[in-house]
Amino acid sequence: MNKLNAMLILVMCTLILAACWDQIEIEERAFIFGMAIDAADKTEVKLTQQLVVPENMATVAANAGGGGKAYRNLSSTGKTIYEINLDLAKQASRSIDSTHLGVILVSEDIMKQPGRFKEHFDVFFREKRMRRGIKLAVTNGLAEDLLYVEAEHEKIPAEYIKNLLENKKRLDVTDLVRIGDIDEKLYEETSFPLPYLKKISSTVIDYEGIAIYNGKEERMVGVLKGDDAKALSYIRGLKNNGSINTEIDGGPMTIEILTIKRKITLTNNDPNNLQFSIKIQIKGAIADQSGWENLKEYEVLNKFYKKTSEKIEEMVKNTINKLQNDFQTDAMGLGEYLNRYYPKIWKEVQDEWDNGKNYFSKSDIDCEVKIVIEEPGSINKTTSK
Amino acid sequence: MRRFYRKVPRKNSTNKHQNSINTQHTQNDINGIQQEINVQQCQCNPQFQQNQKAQHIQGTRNNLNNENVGSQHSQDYQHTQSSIQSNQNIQFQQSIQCQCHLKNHQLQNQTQTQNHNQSQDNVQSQNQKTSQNQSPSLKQNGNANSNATQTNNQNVSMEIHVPIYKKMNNNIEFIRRLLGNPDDLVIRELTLETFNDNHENEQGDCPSSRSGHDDGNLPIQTLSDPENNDSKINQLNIIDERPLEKAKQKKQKIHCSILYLSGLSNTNIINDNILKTLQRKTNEFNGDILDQIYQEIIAVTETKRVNTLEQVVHALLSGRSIFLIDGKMTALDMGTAGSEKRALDEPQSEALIRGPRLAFIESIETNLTLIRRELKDPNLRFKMHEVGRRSKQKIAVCYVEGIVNPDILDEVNRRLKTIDIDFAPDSGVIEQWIEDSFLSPFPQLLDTERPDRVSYNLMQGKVAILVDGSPFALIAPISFVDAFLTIEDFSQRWIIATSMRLLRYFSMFIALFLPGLYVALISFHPGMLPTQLTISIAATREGGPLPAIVEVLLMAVTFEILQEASIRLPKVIGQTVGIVGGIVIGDVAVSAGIVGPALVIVTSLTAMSSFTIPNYSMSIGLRILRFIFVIAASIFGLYGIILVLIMICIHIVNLKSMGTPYSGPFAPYFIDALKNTFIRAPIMTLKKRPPYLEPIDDQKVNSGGQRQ
Repeated sequence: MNKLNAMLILVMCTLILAACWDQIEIEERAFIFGMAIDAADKTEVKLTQQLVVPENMATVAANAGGGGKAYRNLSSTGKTIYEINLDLAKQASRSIDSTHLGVILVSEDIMKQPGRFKEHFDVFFREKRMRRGIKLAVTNGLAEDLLYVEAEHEKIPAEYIKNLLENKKRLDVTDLVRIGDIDEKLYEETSFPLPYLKKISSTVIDYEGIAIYNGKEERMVGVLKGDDAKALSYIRGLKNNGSINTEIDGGPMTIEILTIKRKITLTNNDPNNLQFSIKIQIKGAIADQSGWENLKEYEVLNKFYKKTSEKIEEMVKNTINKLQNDFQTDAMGLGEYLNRYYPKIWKEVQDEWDNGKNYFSKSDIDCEVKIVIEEPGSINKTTSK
Repeated sequence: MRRFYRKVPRKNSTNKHQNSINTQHTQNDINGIQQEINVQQCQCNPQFQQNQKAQHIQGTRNNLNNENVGSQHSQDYQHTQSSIQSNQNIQFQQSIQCQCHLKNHQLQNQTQTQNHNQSQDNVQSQNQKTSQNQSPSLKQNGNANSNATQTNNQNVSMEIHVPIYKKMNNNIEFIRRLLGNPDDLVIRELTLETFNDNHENEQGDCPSSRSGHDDGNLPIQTLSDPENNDSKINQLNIIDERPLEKAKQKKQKIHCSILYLSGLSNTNIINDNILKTLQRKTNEFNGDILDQIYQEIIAVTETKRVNTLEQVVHALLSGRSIFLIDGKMTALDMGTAGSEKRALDEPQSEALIRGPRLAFIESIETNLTLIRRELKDPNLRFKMHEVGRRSKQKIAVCYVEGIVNPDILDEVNRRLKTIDIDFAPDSGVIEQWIEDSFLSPFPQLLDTERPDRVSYNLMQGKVAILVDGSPFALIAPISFVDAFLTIEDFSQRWIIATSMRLLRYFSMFIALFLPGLYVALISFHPGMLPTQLTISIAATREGGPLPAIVEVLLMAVTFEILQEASIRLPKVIGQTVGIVGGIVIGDVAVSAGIVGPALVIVTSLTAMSSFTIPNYSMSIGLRILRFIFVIAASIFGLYGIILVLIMICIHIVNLKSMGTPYSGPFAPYFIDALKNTFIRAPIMTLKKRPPYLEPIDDQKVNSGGQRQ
């Protein structure tokens, strides 16, 4: 009889503890698509949530409301994000559902103040309804402003930003935007790059560069733009496609980058002066060139190789220099390499890798670029001599 | 008396033959045969229930020969006989039905008793021997009958244990009354000429009729038994000599008649092979007229002798014809059955693109022929059962001896014997009587109208059950995967067949889960849908009046109504209904804003998916389960769906089909048999029969298809 009661209780538990009270019809939920976090003052933050208005999003002809905005921005200020979220739920009239949250934008202000980013972001890692795939970006100026940028082709600004961050066709971007990855980096206190966005006009946002976050100092230390950003991608061995411009015989030439492989090796054991050598192997195709040489000739190609690799080497050396001296932050993943392959050395240096004694800045980083042009293109020569 | 009923508890049915042998035939030299017929009284009508106490004696003694009566009785029997008189009078007053028939006999009985008293002294000495033999059996009958009356009033069966009367007209009268004087009963009377006198006839008749009684219901055996024939010939010889000595040969006219029910019998056979040959018979009969007719006249192969009116009536109702001869207590039962039947047709519910296009029909003989035609194996067996207390339908259990596991066969036969119903309109009734779990939504016997499917399954070591009057054969035992198999799987190459099967399983999952998933995802877990889809569903549902669960149930029930209606409606109107239903479901409901367009996709996809399941019974079962999933999803979300799925899985692994596991080669795990489940491996690799059935001969092919 006791057994039966126990069984009954167990069965009832399975039925009662799971809930009909989770039941909220889809049209009664307000889906958040984007969030912007700005600093209100020293301690308080301003949170802006972008909610979808599905009616105006509709692609189905039958229901096309069309007229109004497809989004609705609510904002409020408070000490913690969770608290503000509850506050916003009062304004929303529907129950807020963050399962489709796509983008979180953080303003430069918050990122630059030591520790604030980490402090406010804890809720996104802790809350069970949060997804690890949410994208994160740093904004130039107020983050809130970007949620009002209405691109012509997207009805919701957050969607626009999300797609922007997924761009794989350029090299001056970074791959590390998912909140799940950032959680790991924050836990390990390592440094990492972040996308850096800037509002250009009321309809355009630009992916301006890569913000560098220092894990030890818990703040953003600077932004790499243009060639520096590209060079960081070479060093990190990004899987993106991109291009590199050089000049040959006075004329411009563009090489399309197909794949990048990089290999780091450590050549000595002295923690005070670690010597790294980075080998970057690039496969590319000629996209555009103004010369008339026969690209099948070895000398011609060799000239091309030399020119491009020199250019890339210069870019990379510049960037390394910047990271080591200006930012004093390892955004290249050398620390991770040491952690994996030389754990003993890493244990020695990890506490003051890119702060304090800063072993990272003290190390010598040598760089070697090798490029192979696999496809000269569909034509051999542009003009006959 | 229209029907003769006997209350018999089921256990006593084996005593049938003992009870029926209440008739005594003894030979008196001049008086001819004295008949005693013990008619089982009717007790089925409610009127008789008042009578129960008075009915412990069942026999009515009728003498249908108006001539002399010479009888022999044991003391027991006399006693019962006298008490019958009083009981009968009560019965007559109360039973209207009985009156009409028995009134005739009342007078006879009275005269009979008088005669009986007179003749008793004379006869008793002669017949002492027989009466001693008979008394125990009579006693036994009395006991059995009284037991019967006491124990069971509700179980009523139609059993007539009346031997054929000597007078042909009595027989005809009896049959007419029993059948309610039907218009379709055809009686063709004839007069034959014979040289034999009455006396000889009796001489000739007696041995055969007696032996018929002794052997119970095996008259054919008696005929084919050489010893019996010999003895008969000997007797005939003796008989023939005697009248010659007397130097008087009487030319005698004998009445006979052919009876059949028009419509059930093939009149061509009766006309050409019986009547014509009889009429063309030029030379006259001598010797045993019945034997001669049997041997020389009737050109029907399936002919046998019968001795009781029960057999006669059953034969008539089965479409066979009866040849009655005046003065003979044996009739000929001729196999002229050939009523109208449907032509062989394509299977309606199991159509294939590639494969035989032949389906069973309602006639069991034809169906058995169809199987035999495909399997020319001498080990193919048809074991016949009879079911239906009133309908007396034939059931055939088909199997291949040497393949089938005898335990399974015994189990099938045992279960078939337990069936106790009036009438089985279809094999589905039989299925429900013998299935393992009547609460399960899954069919535990597979119904098919394809002979090739039956043959395939017989080769798998399974048993098929065919029921007369049903174009659907039953296959047992089956496992869950059998319902998803078609014969076409074996006609197509294995890659195609495998993908077809996978498609079928996939659509089974759609049919089961899709509406439930829709409810769960819409109401509980919108985070699990792709973002764009979430928004577009949310947009279409914006302002919708109904919650998801009501919406889904509404559409699902609408579809079920449509489907049910399209089955009932005639084909011409059916199309119209299909169009109207399609518009209602597909268009108007959406544009009226009652349901969202996404739900229309869900509903129609579910509906179509459920039709990809080759077996209709399985498909219906899954349709029911779908509703359970929807309701569970509406209360618990995805969690509820998983709970129900777990319950169904538990049910399936617990389920048995004819005692073998329903969860096929999965739950008792047979890796080799998996080749013919979700996938269909190349034909050459399917070497073995399903091992979980433990067939005697488990090898289908020995060389793996490679000829030496």
